[in-house]
Amino acid sequence: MSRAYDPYIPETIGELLDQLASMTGSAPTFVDSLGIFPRTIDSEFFVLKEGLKVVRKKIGEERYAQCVEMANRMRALFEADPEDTNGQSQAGRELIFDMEDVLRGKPPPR
Amino acid sequence: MVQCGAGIELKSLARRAFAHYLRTGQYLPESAFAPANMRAEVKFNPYHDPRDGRFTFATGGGSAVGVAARPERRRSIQTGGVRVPPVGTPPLRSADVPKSQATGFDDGVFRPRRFDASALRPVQFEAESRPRARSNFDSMIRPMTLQPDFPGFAGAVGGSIVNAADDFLEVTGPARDATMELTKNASNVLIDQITKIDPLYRFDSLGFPQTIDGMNNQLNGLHRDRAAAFYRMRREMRPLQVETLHYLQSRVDKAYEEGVGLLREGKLNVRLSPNEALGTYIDARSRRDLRDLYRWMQISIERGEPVQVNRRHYDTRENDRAFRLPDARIGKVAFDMTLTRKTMADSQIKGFFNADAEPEMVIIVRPRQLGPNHTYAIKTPGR
Repeated sequence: MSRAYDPYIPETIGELLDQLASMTGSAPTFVDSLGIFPRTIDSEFFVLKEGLKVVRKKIGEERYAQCVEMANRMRALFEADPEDTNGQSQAGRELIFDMEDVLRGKPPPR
Repeated sequence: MVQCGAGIELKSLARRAFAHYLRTGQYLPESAFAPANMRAEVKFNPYHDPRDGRFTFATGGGSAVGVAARPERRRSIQTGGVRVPPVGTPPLRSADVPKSQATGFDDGVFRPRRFDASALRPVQFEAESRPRARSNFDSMIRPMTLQPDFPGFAGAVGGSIVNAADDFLEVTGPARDATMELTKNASNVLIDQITKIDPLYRFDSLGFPQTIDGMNNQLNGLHRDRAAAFYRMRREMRPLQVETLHYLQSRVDKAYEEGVGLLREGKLNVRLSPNEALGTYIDARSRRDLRDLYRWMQISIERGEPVQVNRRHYDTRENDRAFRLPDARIGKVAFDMTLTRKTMADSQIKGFFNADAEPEMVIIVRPRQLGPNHTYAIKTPGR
């Protein structure tokens, strides 16, 4: 695919949860395993943050700010462990699970 | 050809003679039915090939290629009515040739004692002047309807399950032994088809792929472009249904493989059970990729569009609030990805069919790793 990759931006909380589950599987490199989409860590976090903006009103400012902060932390963790060998990527995945809980409106994560 | 004899050994001679009379109207002395005088009774059936007894459409009409048999009429015409047996068969004696044939007239009556059965040739049989080179070109161009993926669906009763063709991805996907030449030809055919539908279509390529995977990806991409063009320009959904099924199958297979690995390494979020975690991962991953695919194909999945991904499908006849969530729907075909086998007995499947969109087919897409008949279609009840 030589066209510019213009990813779909999630429009609902359910679609954001799908995005997060997808990131769990492709972390820490976020390369598309089927080789169809030229995904990178940049494109994946762009989609996540744009999706959070879309649902901002629905989840409220507090949860939105919490999710953005978690997204920043998880990106740093994945970048620090691109080979998935030193445990930081797993910590990033744990943050993904926590963000799923926040989006679902469950009690704040540990 | 029906042969009798073994089954009537226990009957008396009188009884056999009477049975013969009832069957043929012919009186024969009882001695004719003595075992010593018994011969195999041969009965002509124009719908059986006299060479091997197989069913044919001998007297014309729709004929199955390679199965039916009839006299070689075209050859009879070309040779003035005299049958020319195939090479290697002994020539017919003049006494064996029916009078009608000798005069160049074929009355079409089968005469077992006079006729050389080897002169019969399969209907539509044409001797080939040279061996055909095997080509996998056809298999590289995917059909544009779901029919070849679910053979037998059209004749299935409502509510029944129709399994996908065993290896539908291989059969209709780009051939494994694709060569550069064939891939180029198939690509050109697909590009021609797309530009006929969408004159503004432009095939972007960084160069012809050098690997088999690259060539397959190029062909798959062109198939998707063709489906997108049909949908955008003509609102024709069938090619898109085919491409969606093929994409989802490959996506689900890959997600299953990844999910099992993640589960094994403790990298999945297990809430209720490992199986639930795996199923949730496969669903979410595949849905996300499907949305990206439609975005790439410039196909809208907004509410109200014929193409939907994981949106509520209401059944307003029953209850305004009752809804189901198929993973995807394109027109009258709904898709559901799952690990467990679902049938019409499941309220979820019934709910899909009862939704206002009234799908005619629900395709259950399961990972190929789960074994044969992993993916199948359920036909809407009552059709």
